[in-house]
Amino acid sequence: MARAWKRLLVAVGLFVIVGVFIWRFPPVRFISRTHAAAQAAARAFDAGRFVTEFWTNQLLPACSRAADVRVVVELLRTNPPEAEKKYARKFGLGQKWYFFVCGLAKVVSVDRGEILLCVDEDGKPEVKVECGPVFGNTVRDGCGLLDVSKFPNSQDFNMISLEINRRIEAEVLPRLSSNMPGAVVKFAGCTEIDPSEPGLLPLKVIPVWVEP
Amino acid sequence: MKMFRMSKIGWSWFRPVCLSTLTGAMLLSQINCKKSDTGADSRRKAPDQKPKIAVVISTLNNPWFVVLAETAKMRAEELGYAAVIFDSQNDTAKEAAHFENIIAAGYKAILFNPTDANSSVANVRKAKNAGIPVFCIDREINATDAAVSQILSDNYTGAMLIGQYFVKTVGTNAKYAELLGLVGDNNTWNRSRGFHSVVDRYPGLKMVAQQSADFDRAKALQVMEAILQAHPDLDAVFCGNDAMAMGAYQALVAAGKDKQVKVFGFDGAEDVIRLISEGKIMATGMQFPRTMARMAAEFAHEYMQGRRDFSQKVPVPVELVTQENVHKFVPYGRKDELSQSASKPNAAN
Repeated sequence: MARAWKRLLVAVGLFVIVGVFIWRFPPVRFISRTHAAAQAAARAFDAGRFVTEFWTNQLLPACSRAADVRVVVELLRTNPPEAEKKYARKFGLGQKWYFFVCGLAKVVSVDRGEILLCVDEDGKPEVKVECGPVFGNTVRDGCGLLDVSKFPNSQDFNMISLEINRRIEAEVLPRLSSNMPGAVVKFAGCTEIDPSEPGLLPLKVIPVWVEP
Repeated sequence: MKMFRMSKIGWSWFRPVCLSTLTGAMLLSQINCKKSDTGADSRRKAPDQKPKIAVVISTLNNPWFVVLAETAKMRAEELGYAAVIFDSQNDTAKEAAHFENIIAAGYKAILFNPTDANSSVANVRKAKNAGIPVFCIDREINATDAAVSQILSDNYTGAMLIGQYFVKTVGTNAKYAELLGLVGDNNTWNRSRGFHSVVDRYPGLKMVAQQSADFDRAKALQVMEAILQAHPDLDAVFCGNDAMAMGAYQALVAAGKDKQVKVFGFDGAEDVIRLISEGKIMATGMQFPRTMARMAAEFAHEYMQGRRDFSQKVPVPVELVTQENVHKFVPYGRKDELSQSASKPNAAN
């Protein structure tokens, strides 16, 4: 009889130990759909927030370090390989040249959704800014501040372009197009050139900063 | 009593225990098989004991991936390796089994075209832990610390270019459909989002249907037939790859709507390049599978020679092919790409 009690006690003891273990370290956890969705949303990449921080903390401070647009334009006129060597960036295996430029320019014309700027004294436009929707990755890849290898999911990296372009459309282009022909503006922006195409000028710049 | 809808289960310690047990069982069964097996594995051994490179491809049921696989194999062989192609058939379980076999068979490197950006990460980590470097080609995995390098098409920009050409040729007031690829693949969404980054800016462009056809020609044919029944007044269709563009075009021809509905693809596959030059398909995004495959094989070779400073991601541009510039292209690349031979490092010892 005592032996039976002993066995029962051992069994109950084991049962309690296993029960406590499973209670403390459950093999399966049940999570409600709402909670799982909230967790996933918290983990998701917020491109809007990323770009807000990137814009203020990295992009705008970098404008002052961008290449002088006048120098780049002159080199593209006279010695394009030198312009590539000194100032261009490339993205991956792409052959296109990206430049991050800044400088002073005189507004030549503002019409038909296009602004023409002159960066030297000849009065001819060397820079063109399109005022319509901004597409593509020119700013993201041209500013040289973002590295695709830091982003595990390239969809996040691409969403950054979308947010940057929207911000340019909302904040930068209206400011530039409010200037009248003859006005002098300070600007910084990025441009993308296909060196295999004939005629490298005028530069098609997407501005990220304009003053006034 | 509070009721839970069991949507998500955290397995904590239970899953590793189960997985370890299963893996152990699989390994045991593999060892047992090897003792009596003179089949696939032993046949794969190169007679001259060259170091082996595995080329794991998501599917060979698409000519584009066949070019990718064959080029990677050929370049690896040129560099002095024995290369074997493994077809995952778009099945993550088959892909995992291939990795188990590759690790057990002592391959020196894996040139990998993943089936799923998330699920494939575990396989790459397993190979990494076994000391086998993995080089992703064309499709990415959602991790930057597993593969040595990932050579990837810039799908977003390519699809954005198609979107701009779509607006130019279809106009800003039209009804269109979209055929998506595999929903677990990042390329599917990068292409879709690149395209929508442009067309969504024009409110007059109405997407009346968006369905997945898994990058598959036969499925695209069926899906397109159903879409045409529901929307007989369709103006255009954007397909996430050329196999689906061919399936959609086939459905349009059968319905007598191939002149009414403009087809746009993505890849640069042989059939679509021919149909673009004949004026039957509008455009595609040319990817460069030969460039990517050759580079992956060369990276693997350089890794084995001691190089370690690889970029985690190497984007490869995608070019727009239209009826105006199709003369510059051949299937799966540019005409001048074939003459520009890639730098060829010395062969393996």
